[in-house]
Amino acid sequence: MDDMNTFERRLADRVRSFAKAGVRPVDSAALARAVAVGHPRRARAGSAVRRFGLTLDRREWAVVLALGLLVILLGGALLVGGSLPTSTLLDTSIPVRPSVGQPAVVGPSTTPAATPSPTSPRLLWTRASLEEDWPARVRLEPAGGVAIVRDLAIDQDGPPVLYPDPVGDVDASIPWIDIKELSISGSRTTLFIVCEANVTPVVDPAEQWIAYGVVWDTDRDGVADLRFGGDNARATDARRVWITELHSGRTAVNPGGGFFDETFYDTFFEVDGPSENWGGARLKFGGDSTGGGGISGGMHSPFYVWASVIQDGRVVATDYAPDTGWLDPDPPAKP
Amino acid sequence: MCIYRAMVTMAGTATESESLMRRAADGDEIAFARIVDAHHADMSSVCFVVTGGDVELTEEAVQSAWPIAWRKLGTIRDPERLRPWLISIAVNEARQLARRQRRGRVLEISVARDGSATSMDPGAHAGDIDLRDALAHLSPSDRALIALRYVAGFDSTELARATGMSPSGTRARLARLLARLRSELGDG
Repeated sequence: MDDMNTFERRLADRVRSFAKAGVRPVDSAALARAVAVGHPRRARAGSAVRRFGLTLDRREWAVVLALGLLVILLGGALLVGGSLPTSTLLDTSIPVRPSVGQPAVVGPSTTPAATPSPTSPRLLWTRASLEEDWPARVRLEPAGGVAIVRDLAIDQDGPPVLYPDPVGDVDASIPWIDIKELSISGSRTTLFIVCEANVTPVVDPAEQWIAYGVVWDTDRDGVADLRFGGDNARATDARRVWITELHSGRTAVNPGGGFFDETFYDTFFEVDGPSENWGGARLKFGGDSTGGGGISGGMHSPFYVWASVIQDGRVVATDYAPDTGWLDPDPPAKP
Repeated sequence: MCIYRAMVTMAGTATESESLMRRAADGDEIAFARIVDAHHADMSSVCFVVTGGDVELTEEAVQSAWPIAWRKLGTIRDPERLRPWLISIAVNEARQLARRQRRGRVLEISVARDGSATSMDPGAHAGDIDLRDALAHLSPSDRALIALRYVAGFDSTELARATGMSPSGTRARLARLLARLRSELGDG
């Protein structure tokens, strides 16, 4: 036992010494500024509560929250049971595999059900789903319309740029896909999709299949070219991400949470989320800058963000940000 | 920015962490900057162990932790809970990032881009390399336990809170880890 205590003390010293190598100087003021600007908070309800003298200790808050949760669950169950949002169910007219020449309506593959029905494909999540494409559809673009492109005016050395998106445009019972804000880093390599609520606890995809991603217009013609996505398959310790070339339907999938495919898309892509820490997901883009890919080495093409959820085998809702038009992180220089 | 930095420096010698936390929770960036200043190094050193000595992942984890802390600071009332809470958030981020070490090719690219990742002198840090190898054989969760115990100095109650295990469970797991590390590192 003494030997072990001695070893433990020595180990503690070595680990502490080793850990010091991980400390890098940081500009606290700049970091705090970037965080505050990049992640604005709403006015805290707590202030008003304190103003009215309604301060509660942690245990009392827990009781109040538990009661509130119970009411929400009961109410939610009644609401969901009474009226599922049938208008947002998966459009069954979407082809199982995208075909060339139909980029605006191409759909991904679906996971075959035990008894597939031609009119009502079930998208039940199984381990085999890891080999399949995510079944959400791309946003429909106005036919023949002019693409609206918003310049995000990103400063390479500046703080993250925010794009607010209206909330309340998806079913209130699934707030973890109700996008309320996008935050794009100055380096254009990190995109936060911030949603109305956290997914707590992170659900099993067999119960609720959640995915977040980005659609790119790499050639700036107003038509979607690439779709990136990641989902909550991590509940099975097999998180996956994928990239689909919308014109051909070719898809690269990796169940490891991130990948770099130099022969296919020449881009590193990684998704972290949904998360118990914040509502939404974090998408990272990197890659080899020597490649010819439109988004290699960061975000350089017009895009929009999507978030979808499947419940009981059906896509029940998708939120897009923006709902129309494209966000441009790196507009071409004007002549 | 200079004025801003000066304001941070002059933001009082207020030692009352509670006031600092409350102000930061109410959106005071200067108060938040002081919290960053006080805890960033701690969080980095712990995360460095969790990531197995990956500088880039460490920075990413800690920088990801701060927005979460900024948003949720209002949920912490006890100033004594601030440090373990911040460290737990950072460790959680680091653990998630470290789990995705299958992206080996990406790390290669990162090292090539960032010379700092290769700046460690192997000759001067032979012990570190042994420890790094031993840590590399552990899972991110096990490394987190080691880091929280020996770098952050968490006791078994804090460990339990941070890991979601029981205090006795953390003690047992720690004992197993110690035995394993002892066999890999020798008697130290």
